[in-house]
Amino acid sequence: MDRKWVKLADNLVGHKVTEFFVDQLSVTFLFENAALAIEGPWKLLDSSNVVIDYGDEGVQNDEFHAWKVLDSTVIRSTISDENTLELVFDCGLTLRAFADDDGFEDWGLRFRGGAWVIINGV
Amino acid sequence: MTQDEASEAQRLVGQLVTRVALKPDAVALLFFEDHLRYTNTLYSSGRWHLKDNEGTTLDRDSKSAARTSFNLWKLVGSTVSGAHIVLGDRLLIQFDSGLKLSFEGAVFTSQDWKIDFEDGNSIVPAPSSG
Repeated sequence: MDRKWVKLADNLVGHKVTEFFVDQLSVTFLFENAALAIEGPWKLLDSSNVVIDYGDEGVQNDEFHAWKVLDSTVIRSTISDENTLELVFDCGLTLRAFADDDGFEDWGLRFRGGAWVIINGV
Repeated sequence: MTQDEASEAQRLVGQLVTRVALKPDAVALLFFEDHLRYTNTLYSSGRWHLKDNEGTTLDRDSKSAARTSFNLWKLVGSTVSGAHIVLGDRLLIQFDSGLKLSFEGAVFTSQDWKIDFEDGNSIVPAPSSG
């Protein structure tokens, strides 16, 4: 399978999170050049790789920390073979958006100008 | 601000908060009327407080660098049970969950708070006459 599209995520590197918002079924991060909407499972890890926040299909964690990437810049971006998107920020936090097999959209990345990726399974 | 303008805020009553947005210097609440379309939007880059029904502050305005927690998202899924403008510049919103949100009109501009209605009308704070 051609997976050249995974390189699209590279375009987030060097860009800041400008807005964070919470809907009933998703969390969304707006970047200077793109929007990342996550409806499936996700985790936020600190610089010691400890999970400090998580969610799935909207709000699950009572104490949100995902907003802490606001104003931070992506320094590394990868999409694994399992379709996990990993974003490492200059503030030391790492965001992982996973793909599960429930048939619904797990995460979607849309860039200004039209390029987009929608993941709804492994 | 006229009596009519002040009562415009009551158009929020019965509406569901479906999105809470946070920017480095601003917040926004988006409302749905029927789960199918956004209706009204409330923006603020001014002073605001979110309190529970006992008066305890759960969240408030803060520049992003100074912010230590974010609880405004807890309004997602709540329905507005009351909305009032006091003295022309202070907006008070009550929710069915018991939470109360207030916005102050410190500099009397749309930077303090602004409600954009689906029909194109807007409300911004006005200086109090008293």
